[in-house]
Amino acid sequence: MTQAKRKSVASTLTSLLSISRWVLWYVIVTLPLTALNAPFFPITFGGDFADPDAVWPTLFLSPFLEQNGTRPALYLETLIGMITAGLGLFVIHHFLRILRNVQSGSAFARENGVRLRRIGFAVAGVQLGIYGLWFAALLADSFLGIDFKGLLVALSPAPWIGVFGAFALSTIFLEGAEIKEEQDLTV
Amino acid sequence: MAISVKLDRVLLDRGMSLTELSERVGVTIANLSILKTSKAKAIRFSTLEAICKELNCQPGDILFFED
Repeated sequence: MTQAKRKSVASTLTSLLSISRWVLWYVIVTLPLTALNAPFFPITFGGDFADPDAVWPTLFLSPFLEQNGTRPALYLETLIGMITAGLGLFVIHHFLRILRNVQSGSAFARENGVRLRRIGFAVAGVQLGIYGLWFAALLADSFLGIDFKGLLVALSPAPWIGVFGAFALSTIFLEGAEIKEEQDLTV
Repeated sequence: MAISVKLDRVLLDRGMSLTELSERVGVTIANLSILKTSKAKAIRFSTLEAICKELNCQPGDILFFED
């Protein structure tokens, strides 16, 4: 791949990531408004749970929640959704910085390796946090009697594949940075 | 660093400036500065050969091992 092509790939990715950033900000702002059923906010999670026939504009959880939905589960899922969106923003921020470095011609910089490692830790941390919340909800359900029935936590291997990918790439970038530094300092 | 480069003394003996050496050897001044300040991690045999040829010296005259 020529350098010009690489740069155009990088700039396309930059545009896509910038758009994703706005979408995630939108999600972070609208999720709590939706969950709390803010009166001025038109989108709800399936509207009135007591009335299954109520048709409202819905987001992605409504069919499940209409069957089993309870408020605590909805709030917890909203929290998980916001944390995940926040993580998305963190990851996008780091990817944008990495792409900026690539565009300026220093792909194999130590900084990029460190950023990838941070992404790996962040994704792993948030995944563990979500499992923790899920477990806490189970405990609250059985010991405190708070009804978390209908809680939906995604158990997908995809984030973990991402975590391992990020760590592997981070090692490669750090190694690459070392090789590049050695090459730069070879006279 | 255990290996140090002492280019200054040889240059002074030959009455040659770093700029002149860089022109003759075909290595940039920036790279020669890296070499001179012992920041270099490696030196190519071709570079060493060219420097020795221009300064009319042996590698041992510019490279020193310090414990």
